[in-house]
Amino acid sequence: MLASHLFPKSAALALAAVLAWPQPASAQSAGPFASFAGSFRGSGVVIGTNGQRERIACRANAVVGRDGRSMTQNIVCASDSYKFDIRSRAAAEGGRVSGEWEETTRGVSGDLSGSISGGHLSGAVSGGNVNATFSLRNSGSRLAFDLRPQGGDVARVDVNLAR
Amino acid sequence: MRDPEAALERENREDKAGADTRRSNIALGVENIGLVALRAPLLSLAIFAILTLVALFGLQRIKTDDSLSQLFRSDTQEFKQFEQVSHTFPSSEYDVLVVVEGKALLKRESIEKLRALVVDLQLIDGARGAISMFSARQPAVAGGQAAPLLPDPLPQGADYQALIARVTSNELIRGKLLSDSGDLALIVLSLEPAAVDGPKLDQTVADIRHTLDEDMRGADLKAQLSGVPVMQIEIRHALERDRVVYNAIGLLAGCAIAILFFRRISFMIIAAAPPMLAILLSLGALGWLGFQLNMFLNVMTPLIMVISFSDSMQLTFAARDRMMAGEDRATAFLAALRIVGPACVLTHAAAGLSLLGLLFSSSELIRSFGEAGFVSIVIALVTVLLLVPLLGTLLAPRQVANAPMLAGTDTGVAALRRFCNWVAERMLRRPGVNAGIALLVVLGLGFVYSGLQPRYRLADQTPDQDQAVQASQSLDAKLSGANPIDLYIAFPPGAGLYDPSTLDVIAQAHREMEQQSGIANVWSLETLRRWLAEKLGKRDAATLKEYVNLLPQFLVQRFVSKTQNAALISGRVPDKDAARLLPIVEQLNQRLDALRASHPGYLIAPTGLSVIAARNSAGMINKLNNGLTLEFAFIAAFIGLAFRSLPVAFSCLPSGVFPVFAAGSLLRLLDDGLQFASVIALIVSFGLGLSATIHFLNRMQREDQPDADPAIAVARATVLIGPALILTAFVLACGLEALAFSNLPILKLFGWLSAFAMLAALVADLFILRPTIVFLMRLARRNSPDRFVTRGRAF
Repeated sequence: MLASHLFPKSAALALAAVLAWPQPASAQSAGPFASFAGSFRGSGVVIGTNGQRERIACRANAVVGRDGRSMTQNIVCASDSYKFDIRSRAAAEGGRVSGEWEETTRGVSGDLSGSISGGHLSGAVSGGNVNATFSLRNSGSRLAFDLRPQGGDVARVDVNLAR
Repeated sequence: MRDPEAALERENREDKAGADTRRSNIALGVENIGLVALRAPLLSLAIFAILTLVALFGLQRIKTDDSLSQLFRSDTQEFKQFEQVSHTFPSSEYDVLVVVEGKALLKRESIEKLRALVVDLQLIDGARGAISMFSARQPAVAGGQAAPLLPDPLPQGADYQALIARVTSNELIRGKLLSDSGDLALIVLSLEPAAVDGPKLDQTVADIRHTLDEDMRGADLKAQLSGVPVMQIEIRHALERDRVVYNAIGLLAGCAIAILFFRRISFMIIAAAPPMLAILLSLGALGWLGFQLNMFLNVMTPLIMVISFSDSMQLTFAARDRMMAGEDRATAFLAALRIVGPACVLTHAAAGLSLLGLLFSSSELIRSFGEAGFVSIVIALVTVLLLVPLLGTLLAPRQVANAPMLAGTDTGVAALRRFCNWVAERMLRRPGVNAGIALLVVLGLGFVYSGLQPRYRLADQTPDQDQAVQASQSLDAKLSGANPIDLYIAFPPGAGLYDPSTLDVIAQAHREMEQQSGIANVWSLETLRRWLAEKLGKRDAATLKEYVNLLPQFLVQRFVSKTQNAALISGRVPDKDAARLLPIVEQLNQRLDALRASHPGYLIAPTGLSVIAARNSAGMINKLNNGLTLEFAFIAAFIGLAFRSLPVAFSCLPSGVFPVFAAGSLLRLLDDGLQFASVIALIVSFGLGLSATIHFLNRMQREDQPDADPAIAVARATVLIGPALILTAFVLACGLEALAFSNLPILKLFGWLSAFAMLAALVADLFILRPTIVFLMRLARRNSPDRFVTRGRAF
């Protein structure tokens, strides 16, 4: 059936995408999320536990609060057979990050938590049947994102976004 | 026959001697509102200036209604159910259909381009998801991740050919997302309801087109868009474009004809400015009253133009004649108001009654057109009656200096007068014979007209120059149709989606719909159930529920309501005429009777725009047509009452119905049916066509003497106002023909048909009304000479 086996993979991807926000070099604020603001496009790959690879494309937009300590973001990723659309909010307190996310195409939601330091955000996402760890590393106008879901059919997701 | 110039002179003398005493009361004195402008010109100007400003703001408030179901919007249970289903199952009306065609479609590079296109389309703001041949997956091995049917990257050589063979034979793709011939692929791009219903739709569709152009560049493939949102955008653009075109054409044509006829800028302004302002004031009022611009309301601009222009021309023409005879401009326009004004009131009343007749339609759209038309008619009448005398007294040339020059440039009018004289001579020589022949012709055309069949096609409502119709035609030809048809299943209280009886009803209904000839591309929850049974060998409710929960919400809600108390089975039918769709709908409905009997708690009903159209269009068109027939009698009685004359009432009938019957016969000759637009055009034309009749009858009544042969009055009236009648008939026809510039077939039809009807009305006026009225009046006077004497006048 169409898209019938997609959920574990796409949900994990969705959560991964929530966290994959690059940072604009020209950001005015100095908070930890400041460099995440702006619009980006990119591509990536989903690697299944059986080694199968599927390409995805993503676009993202993030709005960061004046003090750079909060962020509202929307990300859309699509393959040739499915898509997901994430809206999320996150806030930083010291080096700690917490927040919530929602994937609108499937109506799944949950929490995110982690730490941020020097353009490197890492942590975990949870919600529904999904648990995953992630790492997000910024280098100028590019962003490398790595997600490792626990359980399910997806072993790893790699996404590269650019301004 | 009499010399027309001498007749004119006599008419002027008589009117000067006692115009007031000869004034008819056919309009109950309503025309006297024009006197306000003559008594307080500056105040009137100031009021018009303020109203113009208010109207400009009102104009900004007019919104566009681009809904495809607008014709059928009504209070009926069936339409309410259709709206409820559309709301509960956001599906077809939010789907953009991307149709990609070409012989090279299944080549490796084409498939790669299509894949990129599907990905990019889903990234567009407002897109919810796409269904295409790439959506299909192979069964999961041992419960693991299901591999796509079309892997990435695609294999090469023989492996690729084998893959294509699997794709073209896949039961979920073949005939649904890929044509049997392999040269047409369908991508169903589902949009967010908020993107379709809100102001973002234009941008979303523009983004889709841009993505299509970018991704398909260099491919030997043709890609087009269709589906309800695209049709809505195309209708919206066509309506907005038409509004600009009609206003421009109306303005230019009106000015051009007025300047050609009057040869002076001042008279051109006097004749053309009131209709222009009437349009602005009417549209402004419609904006303030909350009317929406739709495919019929767009006709309002040319309609106001032609009605108002006809009367302002008659008023200006009458005033100019008097100025040529030496009167000053104030006296001339006052007299014109008193002589022609009553006829102006009556013509507007007749047109207004025609439009009020539309209020009996069950279609909200047509009722709204009737209401808007009536409001516009009232505004146009007041504007013309006030503004023509006002502008006349302010702008017209002063009598003594200009009269000779005007008379010298009157060759066109003189030629028309000679023609009218010729017509009067011919038609009144043997009025009984001519009336008899005319009656036979009318009856013959009426017989042909009665054989017209109702016709409705969705394609007629959408612009024919744009992509949507062409893409739909491709889908009709290669994928068995683009128009949705649905089966709505509401569960009884307490029954759940996964109850065995519910699943059984869905399965059986799905099967019946699939087996119904004329319906293809059937999808429902049963499609998933069959796939699970075939690929995984599981047909239990628990597995079904597990997979339903895994699917995206937008996909699930196409077939199952959010509260899981109703389901939808969705199919497609070609864009056929409603008469050909109706048997399909009714056969499907009958097939479901056994299922309804075995599961009495379940409501199982065919629905969708195709069903509504098939079931209602013929009835609605016939009802309008019957209403038109009643209107003939009603308007004839109204005119007869206004003129206090039975011969007038009876003579109006054959000349009034002639343009309707002639236009209908032409439609039948062209092998066309009776569409919504054609009936509306005929109703409006009937009302407009009576304008000439009323102006003529008004003048004839003024010329008639109780003891004289009515032929004298008829001939004099024909010569006196004939030129203005002929000219305004052509102006009306040109104004309505402007609609032919529309991309909307329904408006094109309205335009040329009503233009034809206007010219037919002129023919009827000259060649049917004249002999008939003389024949009947002579008959009435011979048989009962005192019977029709009223107010010192005998008919």
